[in-house]
Amino acid sequence: MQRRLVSLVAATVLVSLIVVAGTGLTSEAFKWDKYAGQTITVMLTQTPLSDGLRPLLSEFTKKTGIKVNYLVLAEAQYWNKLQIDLSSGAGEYDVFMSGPSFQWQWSLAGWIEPLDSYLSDKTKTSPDFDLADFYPAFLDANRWNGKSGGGLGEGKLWGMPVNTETTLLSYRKDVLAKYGLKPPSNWYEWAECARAVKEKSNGEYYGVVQRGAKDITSIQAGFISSLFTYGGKDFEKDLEPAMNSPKAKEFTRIWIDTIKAAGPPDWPSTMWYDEAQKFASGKYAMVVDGDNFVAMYEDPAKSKVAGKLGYAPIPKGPDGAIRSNIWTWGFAMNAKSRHKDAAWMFIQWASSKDTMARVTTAGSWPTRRSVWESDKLKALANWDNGNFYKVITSNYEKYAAWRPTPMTELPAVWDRWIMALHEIYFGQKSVDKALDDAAHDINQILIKAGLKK
Amino acid sequence: MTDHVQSRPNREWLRSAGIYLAMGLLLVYILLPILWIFILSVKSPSDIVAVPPKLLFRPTIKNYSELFGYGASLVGGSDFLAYFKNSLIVSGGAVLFSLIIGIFAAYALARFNFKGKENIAFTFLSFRFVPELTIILPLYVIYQKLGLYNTYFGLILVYQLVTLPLLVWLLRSYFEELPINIEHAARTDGYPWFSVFWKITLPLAKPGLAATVILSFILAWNNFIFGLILGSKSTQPVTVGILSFISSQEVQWGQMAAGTVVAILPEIILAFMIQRYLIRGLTFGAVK
Repeated sequence: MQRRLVSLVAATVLVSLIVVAGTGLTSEAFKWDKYAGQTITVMLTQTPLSDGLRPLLSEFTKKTGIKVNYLVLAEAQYWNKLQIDLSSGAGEYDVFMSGPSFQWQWSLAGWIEPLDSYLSDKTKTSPDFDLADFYPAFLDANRWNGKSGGGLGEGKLWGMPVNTETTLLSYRKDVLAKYGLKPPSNWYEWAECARAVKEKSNGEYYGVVQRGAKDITSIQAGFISSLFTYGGKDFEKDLEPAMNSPKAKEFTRIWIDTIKAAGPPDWPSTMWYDEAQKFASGKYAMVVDGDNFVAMYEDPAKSKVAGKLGYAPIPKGPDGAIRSNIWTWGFAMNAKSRHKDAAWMFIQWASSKDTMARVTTAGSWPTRRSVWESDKLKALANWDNGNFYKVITSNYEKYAAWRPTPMTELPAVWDRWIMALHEIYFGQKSVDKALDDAAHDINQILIKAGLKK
Repeated sequence: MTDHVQSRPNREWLRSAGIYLAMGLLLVYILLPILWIFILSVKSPSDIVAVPPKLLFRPTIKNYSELFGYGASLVGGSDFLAYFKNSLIVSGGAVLFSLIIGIFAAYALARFNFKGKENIAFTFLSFRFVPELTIILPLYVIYQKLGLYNTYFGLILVYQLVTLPLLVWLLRSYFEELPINIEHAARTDGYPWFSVFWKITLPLAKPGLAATVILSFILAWNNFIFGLILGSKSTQPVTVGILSFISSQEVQWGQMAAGTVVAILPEIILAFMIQRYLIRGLTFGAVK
C-alpha cells in the first residue's frame, strides 16, 4: 500500500516534471518571427483600444518581423468601408476590429476566417497564450454555429475579444442624499426615485438620462440589458418576436413613462454620446448604460460629476436576476487575406496577456481575468470606494452575457423596435399597440430575409 | 407737395435700412454655424458640456495644440496635418488635372461645331447624375486590381467625377459669352486658332476661370466618400480624418471643432483672394 503510494507520488512528480520541461521547451521553441518580412494591413476604429495599440505596433514589428500598415476610422465610416472591402473580396485588410453581431453576417457570407485551427495549432499559437484566462462570456459571444435564433457559444470562434463593455447603474450620490433617496435596487424603485428627484429638486435635476435617438445604438446597452434583467426578451427560441410579451410590455411601460416624466426633454434625439455628455454635465441623477463611459464621468477635466458618483448593478426585475448585455471589441481575420498566418500572429499578440495589460485603460476594460484582477486594474477602477470594481467583477463572473438573439437581421429589427419606442413616447400608439405592431413587422422582416417561414 | 418731396429721401433711407437689415440677418444666418464652431474650438471640454451653453468662458488654445499633436490626448498622436496635406494634394491635383483637360473641352464645345457635340457635353454632365455610393463598390474592385487604391493619383483621377463636369460646363458658358468677333479679328490678323485661344480668349476668360477653379476646388475639398473608400491612411483627406475625434467612448468636440476651423481655412482664404474675380465671374454672363 505504502509502496504503491510512493510510486504514485513519484510518478506524479515525474509526469509533472516532464510536463513542466515540455512546456518550457515549446515555450522557447515558439518562434514569433516565423513570418518575418511579411506586411499586414489592419483596420481599426477609433477606440481607446486602437489608441493603446498604435504606439505598440513598432514593438510587434520588432518581435515578429511583420510590418503593419493600419487605418483608423470613426465607427460609422469604419463599418461602411469594411463592408465594402469584405463584400468586394479584395482582401486589402488582413485583420480588423470587430464585434459579435457583425461577425454573424460576415461568417455566413464566408468573409471571415474561423480562428479555431490557429488556436489549436501549437506551431502557430504561443503556449503561454492561455485561452482559459478569458472570461467565458466574452469568448462565447464571439463563437457562433451559424444558426439564426441561437447557437451562441457553439461552433467556431470568429473573433478574439480584447476589450469589453457591460452595463451598470451610475448615480449621483450627492443628489440622492440631498433628497433623502436610496439608490434603486429594482425597477419600481428606479421609476420612483427618478420622479422623486425631479419633483423634490423642482426640476433642477432630471431623474434619468438614457439613449433615445432613432438609431439602433439606442437599443443596445442600457435598454436591452434592462429589458432582459426585467425578464423580457427580444425573441423566443424559434425566432418568435417577444418584444410584445407581457413582461416586455410591462418593462417598456415603466421605461418610457419614467423617461417621459423625469428624463431629458430631448430624449428622442439623444444619441449615446449625448447621453454620456448630459450625464457628465451634472443635471441628471441616474443612468443605466455601459461601463465604458465611466472613465469620462470621473475625469474632472471633462465632467462636472467626477467623484460624486455611486455605482450599483442594473436594478433587478421581478425574478431578482440581473442580466447585463455585453459588447466586445476584438479582432477578426479576413477570409481573403493573403497573409493569414502573419495576421494570426497579430491577433494573438494583440490579445495576449502582456499586450492586453498594456492597452487596457480606464473605460476600455479587458476580457482576460488575469488583467482584470491585476493591481493596476484594481487601482484604475477603484471609483466609489471600490464599488465600481465590485459591480463590474460581479458582471463578469455572473451577470453578463451576450443577450440579443443571434441573427443577421439584427439592425433591421432594432430599427423597427426603436420606432415603436418613439411611437409610445410621443403618444401616437399605446404600449400594447406599438409593440404588437412592431412584433408583427419584425416577424415579416425575418420571413422576408428567409430566416423563418 | 412739400410733404411729398420730403418724404421721398425718408422712404429711400428706410428702404436701404431694410435691405441692410435683411442682409445682416442673412449674414448672421450664414455665419452663425462657423462662429459657433469657432467658439466650440476655444472651449475646454467641461465648458462644452455645460448646460445651458456658456457664452462667457475662459478661452483655451489646447484644442488647437492637441490638433497639431502637442500633448495630444490621442496616445498615438494626431495625424491631422497629414490629412490636411492629403486634401491639398488631392483637391489641388484634381482641379489642375480638370483644368488641363477641361479648358480645351470647354473651348471646343463652345466654339466648334462637330458631330455628337451635345452628346459629349451631356456625357460630361452625366458624371454628376449617379450618386457616388452606387458606383463605389465596382470602383473599389477596379482600384484594387489596377493598384490605384490608396494612391494620390487614383484619388485625383476619381475626383474628376466631381470637378470636371462643373469646370467644363461653367467654362463653356464663359467662352460662349465672349464676343466671337474678337477672335475673328485676331484670325484675320493672321493668328492660328491656338494662338487666338492662348493670347486672346484665355486672358479674357480669366475671371470666369478663377470662379470655376474656386468652385471646383471647394467641391473637391468637401468630398468625403471617395477619400473614405478609395483612400487609406496615407492618402486620407481631412474630411475623413477629422472624424477620428469621434471615439467609442466620447466625442472630442473641442478638437473636432478646431479641426473644422482649420479645415475650412483654405476655402475661406481662396474665396477672399479671388472674391473680385468670383463676383465678376458669376455676373459675367449678364453684362455684355
